[in-house]
Amino acid sequence: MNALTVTDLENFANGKPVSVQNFKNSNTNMEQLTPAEQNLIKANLQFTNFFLDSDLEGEQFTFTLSNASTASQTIVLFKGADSTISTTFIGSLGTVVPILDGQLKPTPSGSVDSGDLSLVTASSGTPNLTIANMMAYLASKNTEITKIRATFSDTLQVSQTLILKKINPLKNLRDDFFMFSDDRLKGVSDQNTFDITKSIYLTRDNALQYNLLPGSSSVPNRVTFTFFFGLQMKDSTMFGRVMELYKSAARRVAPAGVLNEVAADVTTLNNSPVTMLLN
Amino acid sequence: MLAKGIYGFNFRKDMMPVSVASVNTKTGIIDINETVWNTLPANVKFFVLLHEYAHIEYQTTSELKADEMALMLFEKQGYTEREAINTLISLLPFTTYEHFKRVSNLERISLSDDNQIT
Repeated sequence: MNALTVTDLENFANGKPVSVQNFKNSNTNMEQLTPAEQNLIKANLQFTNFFLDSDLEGEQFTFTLSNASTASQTIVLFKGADSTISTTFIGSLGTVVPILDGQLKPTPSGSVDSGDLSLVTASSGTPNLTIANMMAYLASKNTEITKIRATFSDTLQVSQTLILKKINPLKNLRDDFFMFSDDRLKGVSDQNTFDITKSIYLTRDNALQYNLLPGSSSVPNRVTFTFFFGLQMKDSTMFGRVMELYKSAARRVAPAGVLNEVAADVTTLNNSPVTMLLN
Repeated sequence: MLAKGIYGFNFRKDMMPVSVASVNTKTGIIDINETVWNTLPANVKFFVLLHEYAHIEYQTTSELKADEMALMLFEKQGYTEREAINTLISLLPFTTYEHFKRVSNLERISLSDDNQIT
């Protein structure tokens, strides 16, 4: 693994992108890291390679992610000719199912037509598709967010925010904002209780960041989505637009009439968490 | 085994307010107090990062030594000794003798450098 240089540190202090090389060839010193950190780096590399190798438009995006608890899984996302987003989950996520409004139908092969995606509950099966569906829904409703979409989960349970690095400028990007969510749900012992403990987002300055959020403990029947906006998310118009999308998605995926709160600190857009409570 | 370099940043919300950053010598990951960090100017952030970098790069647990190495690197990048000293003054809580010693140590170096110039 290439260590960060003094220049990297200065760039980081100044909010500039840090070299993409920092986490490439990371195998050499991986043994120095905790399993959680290794997972983050592996996942980060997956995304980095994806971004750098893809034209990000009209393509099929494939992620293979390591999940110690459920073995590896592959997530394929692609944009159909009719601008809908389709998702295919292979492996452990093939068991996707319970849905709220009955319109998400997994096919026998495990693929899911996302023409009308909705929230996957944690009442049974793997809850990992919750944010995947939400983001696919967002993507299907706003073409400016369809360029990138992905969701994965791994076994990280660290309650901290970790910025691994920033990545090189991306190709062919017109969007101001991209978001990935990594919904690690836990607390499923109570089947109606689960917390999203981390999310991943790509900011307008191309910073790929992992936000590992403290779980909001076991509050029965409550789902908390927390989104962090990027360091460069200073455009209030854009912020408002994204917020509307989230609200829309939250209402769309939430059980009828249970969207209690959509809150955001719009005065401090830098790394502001936006929390939506559904209960 | 100790890390051979800085490999990333770990933004935390659970750090003590008096702590801006610390480095994990095994992983090379710098923990950053997110709450404090977002209030700091870039030059202060840079000196803080250099201080943590120095712990790893020069394999030292000494705060004074890390300050000295950070100061050297800081100056190489075009910043001034005064900026470095002011960083310490602004960030240290001065609740221990070492805090005063760290500032005076950099002041001493600065004065020494001034004497060499003159």
